[in-house]
Amino acid sequence: MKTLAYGVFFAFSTFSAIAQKQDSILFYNKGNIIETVFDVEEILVRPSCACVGECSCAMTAEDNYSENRFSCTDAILAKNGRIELMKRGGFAFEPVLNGMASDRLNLTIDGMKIFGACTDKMDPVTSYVEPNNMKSVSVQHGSAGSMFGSSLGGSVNMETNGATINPSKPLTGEVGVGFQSAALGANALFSLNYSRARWAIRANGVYRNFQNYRSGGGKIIEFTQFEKWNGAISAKYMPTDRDVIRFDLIIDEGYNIGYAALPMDVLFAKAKIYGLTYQHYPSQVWFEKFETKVYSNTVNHSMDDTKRTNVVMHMDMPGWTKTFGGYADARMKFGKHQITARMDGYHTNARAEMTMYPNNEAPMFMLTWPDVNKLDFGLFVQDKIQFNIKRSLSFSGRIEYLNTSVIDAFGVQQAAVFNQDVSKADHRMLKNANISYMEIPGKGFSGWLTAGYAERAPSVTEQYAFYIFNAYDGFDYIGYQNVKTEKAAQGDVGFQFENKRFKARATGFYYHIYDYILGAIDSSLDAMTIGANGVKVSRNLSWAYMTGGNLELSYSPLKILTLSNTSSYTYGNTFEGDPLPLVPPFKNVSSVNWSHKRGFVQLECEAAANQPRTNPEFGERITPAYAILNARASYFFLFGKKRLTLNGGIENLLDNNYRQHLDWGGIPRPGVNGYLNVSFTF
Amino acid sequence: MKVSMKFLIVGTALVSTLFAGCKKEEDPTPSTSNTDGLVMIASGYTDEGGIKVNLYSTDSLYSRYTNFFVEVRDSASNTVIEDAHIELMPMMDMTTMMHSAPFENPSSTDAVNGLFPCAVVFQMPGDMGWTLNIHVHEHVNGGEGEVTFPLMVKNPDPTRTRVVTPLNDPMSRLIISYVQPMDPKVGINDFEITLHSRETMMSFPGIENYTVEIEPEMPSMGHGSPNNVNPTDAGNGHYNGKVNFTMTGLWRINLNIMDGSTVVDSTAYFEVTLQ
Repeated sequence: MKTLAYGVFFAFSTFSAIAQKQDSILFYNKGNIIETVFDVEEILVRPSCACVGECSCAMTAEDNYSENRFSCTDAILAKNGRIELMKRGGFAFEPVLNGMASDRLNLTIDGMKIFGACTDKMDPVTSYVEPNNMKSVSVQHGSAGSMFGSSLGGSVNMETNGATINPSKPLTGEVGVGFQSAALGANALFSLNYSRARWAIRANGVYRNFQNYRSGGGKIIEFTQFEKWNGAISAKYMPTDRDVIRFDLIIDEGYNIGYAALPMDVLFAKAKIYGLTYQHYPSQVWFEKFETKVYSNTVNHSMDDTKRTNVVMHMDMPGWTKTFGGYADARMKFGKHQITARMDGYHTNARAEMTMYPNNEAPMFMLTWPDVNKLDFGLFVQDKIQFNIKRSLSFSGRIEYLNTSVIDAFGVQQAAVFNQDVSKADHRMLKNANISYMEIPGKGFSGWLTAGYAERAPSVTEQYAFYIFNAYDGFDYIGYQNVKTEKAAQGDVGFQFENKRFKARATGFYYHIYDYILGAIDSSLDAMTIGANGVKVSRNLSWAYMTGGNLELSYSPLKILTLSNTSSYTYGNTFEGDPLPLVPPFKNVSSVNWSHKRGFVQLECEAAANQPRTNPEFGERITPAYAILNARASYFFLFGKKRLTLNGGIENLLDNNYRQHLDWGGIPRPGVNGYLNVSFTF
Repeated sequence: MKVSMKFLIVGTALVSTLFAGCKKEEDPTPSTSNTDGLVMIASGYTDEGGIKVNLYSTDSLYSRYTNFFVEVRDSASNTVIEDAHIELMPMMDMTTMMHSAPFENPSSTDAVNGLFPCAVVFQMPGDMGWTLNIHVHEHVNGGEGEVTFPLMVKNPDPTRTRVVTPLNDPMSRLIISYVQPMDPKVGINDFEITLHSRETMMSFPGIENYTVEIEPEMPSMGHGSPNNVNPTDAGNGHYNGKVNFTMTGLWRINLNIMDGSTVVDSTAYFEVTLQ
């Protein structure tokens, strides 16, 4: 494992020393992201560290870019070359990995399944965990991520910090404030960790308050404001040197969140997330780790149109999800084989209502998600064979049983109107398999090749949506219970070269998707939403494909100077040759980084080509090319072991008016934005 | 009304117990009928034949398609008679003129649960003026006579009967009545209307072989619902289909009534509110 540690710590050589300390397969750590080909390992191997189990010896989050802790989680994710963001307002962007959005991804927090409660995807899971509570984000592509669930695009698991047992430093923490000009935004954050010999407790919190932002050219974009706080408490206890018990609680509450691209805003979005974990590190050499976890979470989401003018009719749109689940996994080593096995299960309920209030008439009520229960059990096994220091092969497979049922009779009656009988449960078996081969052919060179087969179940919306309005294409969506499971044959390839001064990494993927789920216009149906273009019903496209790749280059002519360049491109087509909707265009980020012991200065140019490949049925418009300039700097002062960090910058220096292709509603992104963050770490 | 019904039931039960006591050897005749959920509208004796007639309905009376249940009893023994020939004649006396209404006599001489189901379409409301004449020929004792009840018919909200001038026959009138769903739900509902023609002031036969199209819509939203089944002729002026509602609130069911390809009326509609 250690010898196999593979990847490049990209972008900021200043921090590469930190990364090398870690037994992680790091590739890109600017945003605490660990991207892996094979596996993710975020803890130190026992003998090398005084504290058994998780420990503070390599807390990358502490050492990293202090700016990250002021960013939103989605912004950090977007620094990954294969992740883009779908933007609908000023907050809570939906991550898109390999051209695929949240329905096709696993988004987990510490391996916990959590489902957004908004039918309009206003609350992706990433909005419920904050960077100052995040240790790492692991991104696994395609079926390689099936440890966390069946998915097509891959898995994004956000690992929270958790309490750190480190009696030599009983009290550690951080306080910080930040301001930014485009939205007159204020951030405040703190974290505190208190440790005794056998236990520790950590608390952290974030408060953010942002006004409507100003776009390039000076226009204020209404309904991009938001306010939120996030608090987390983590407690860890080690009854023995080989056992760790951990409890986590995360509470996230957002209020008055504007969604400029949608006809409604969010009144509130509240999540409560609980997890209880037990880890055991057996004394047997072959049995490396056993971990089990139980968790539950609830999300309560409510939309709001009361601040909008020209609302034809006021409506309430609350939504809820309630999830509980658990998993148990074991990691074993038999000679060259490292075997990981996981059993997991969860139960989730999703319900969303819509009530419209016409004048002097009875309210109009319907269930946009008809109280849907999902019961899921999965089994994952991975065998990683390390032939020698240069070659390894990994097999993984997952089998998952999913039972979906509508429990509200009202929902069953509603669906009957569309000649759908949803009174009986929907059963599916989902199969995922992956094989990866990795080789280090020479000094500094490495490469890998993976092939996979993935299946994913349709989402609640895809199966049971009842007149869910999509503001992008202007259609009301109706689910179809019997929509077929989406399947994909996948290939992922990567190559990397690294020497003292130069690093290059290229990855490519091709996903051939069968029974691609997409709404198809049903002209026999009347739209419900006033002004909507019509009705789309979930259907399977015979096939579609998604392909793309990225290239990352970095050159350090001097020890303190690094030039880097990242390009990414995704291309998606239906079997009929039409472009798949919402596929990001070619994008390039170049930067010059000057680093110093105490900080850095960075000048960055972010540019994207136009996206002429649009899906007209999805109402896509051509997005023009853009380029923006960003400048960032950071410096810290030391007071003994305490550290005061200042970081600031100006984003979109030239105040360009631009938008990205995945942004909804043609709404421009923020214009010139100066920001300054101050944090004190002790 | 309910109180009087209870009295009646208790009274009937008492009386019948007494009589049952006297004629133990005879066939057990049901002395009560199942009037659960029904409202007594009127009660009286026929002019001849010694028959007591109780008139029930599902609710107090409104100008709409109205189901009636006639209970026939022997006036002396008060036993329920289950074999009788019954004929209705509704009448509206407007002082300057009189007219009848569409009606449906019991389809059989055999009672159902001790009651003879029948129906009248009150095409207009009236606090006074409406009467219902019931002619009974009971086949148990052979008695025959009639009774006339004055009725109070209120105006329902929303409207449940439309009287329109047919485009293909301006001298006639077309009476369209909403029958069900009485308790509409989100989802699929049985839909039923009746169509009657005013041939004369006294004759309102049910219309057969018309084509009816329905189009539900939410007036405040402007949308409809899919997969409705147009009502088709079920005999006796009744047309049955399916109407779908996708959400609660106020719905308007628009009607298009045709005789073959000739439009007879396309103005009529009924409104329903789903709570």
